[in-house]
Amino acid sequence: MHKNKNKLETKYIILIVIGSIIILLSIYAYIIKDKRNLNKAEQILKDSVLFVENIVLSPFRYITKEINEFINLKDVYKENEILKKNLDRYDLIYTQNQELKKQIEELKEITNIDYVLTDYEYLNAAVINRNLGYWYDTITINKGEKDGIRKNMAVITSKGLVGKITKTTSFNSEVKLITSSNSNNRISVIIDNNGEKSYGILSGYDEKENLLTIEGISDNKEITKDAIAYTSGLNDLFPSGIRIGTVKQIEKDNYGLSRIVYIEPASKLGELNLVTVLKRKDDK
Amino acid sequence: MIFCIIITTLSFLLDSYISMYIPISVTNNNILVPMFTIISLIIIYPYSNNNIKGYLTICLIFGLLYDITFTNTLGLNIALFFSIGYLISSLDSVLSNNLLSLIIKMMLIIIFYDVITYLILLLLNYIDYSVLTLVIKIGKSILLNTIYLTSIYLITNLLSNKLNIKKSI
Repeated sequence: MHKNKNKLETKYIILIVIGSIIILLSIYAYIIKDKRNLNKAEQILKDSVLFVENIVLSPFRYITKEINEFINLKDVYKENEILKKNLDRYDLIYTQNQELKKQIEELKEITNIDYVLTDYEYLNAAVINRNLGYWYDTITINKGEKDGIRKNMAVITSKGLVGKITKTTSFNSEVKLITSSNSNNRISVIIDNNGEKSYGILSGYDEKENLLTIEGISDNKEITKDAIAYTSGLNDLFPSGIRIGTVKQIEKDNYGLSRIVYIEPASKLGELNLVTVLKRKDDK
Repeated sequence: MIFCIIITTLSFLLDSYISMYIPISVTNNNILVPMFTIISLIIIYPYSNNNIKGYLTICLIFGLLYDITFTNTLGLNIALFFSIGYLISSLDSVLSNNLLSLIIKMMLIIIFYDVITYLILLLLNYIDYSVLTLVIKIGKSILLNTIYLTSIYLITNLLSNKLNIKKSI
């Protein structure tokens, strides 16, 4: 009788433990969703902690910055020479750019289109935190809702795409990097092979090869090494034409129906200090 | 307790500062992964002088700060930090507080934290990295954190001797 009572108690305990684990996992499943907005308390706490942290660490960051600038001083002469050479080309490109902008505006008027996929505004931000959780692949920037930042905006550097905004507070935002293996982090991509365009989906990151993977590319168009991959502007909130990287490897998928293309990211995602947030003009 | 709070706060700030210069993620091939806040929880336990309630409160608060500031996973690190605090207090009766025992505790804590986080994120389909990546991550974590643990152990020992702060052996 006593033994049966003990057995029953053990069963109940196991059931309670399993039930608790399921409930906890369900709660976490909701919490870690990129779609979840931070509540007011979380936003205020995050802004406050980052504000205090920024004040405490700013002298150390300043010293490190000065040391780095001194170390990089030897490269300034070389960089200056390259910039001088490029300066002549800059005027030409600027004039061409202005001309193209005019033409786009005229075409918009003729066709009655309010915006095109390449229309966007720039917003510069500094990286104030990198992801401390090894698995999350995020950075925190010092611009938030007060500066007009909204979820899903594209984040770039001068080299190319970095990621997208996933969480915002009043004064800070979290950027999910394109290297994240999260299944929600899909981006529509075009691979340009000397004018021949192939469409695919940026689906993840191969940690063994250190390359981004693009899937769903049909077999009927040729793709060669060093072809450029950039955003298509379709099916997501990213503007079109943002460089993602260059093709390094091409493989058939497991079923032999389509190809998997491996690309090297254009931006150095481990060395981000300043980034630019792109706001599409149709984002109200 | 103030000494414990200061050590943990400094480690928390150092975690944030270091993260700017050592990119911490699966996608960067650096060999160092700092977990200084968690390491500080091992270091401060002897200085809590068996005030388990106060010690676990510190674990909870820094778990919350970790969640809010670094990972946006409200609750996950609160639960993990609390469990780590409980684990450290349980290990105290088995392992003493000399440097070698602390390194063993640190290894157990890192494995516990990394395996649980990995399993939860894998179960929730948030990541799809292989077990090998987890093993590599644990290896990377142990390397830098052993250096940090040794340094902070020596510094806190020196300070506690100078300032006459009580420490359980």
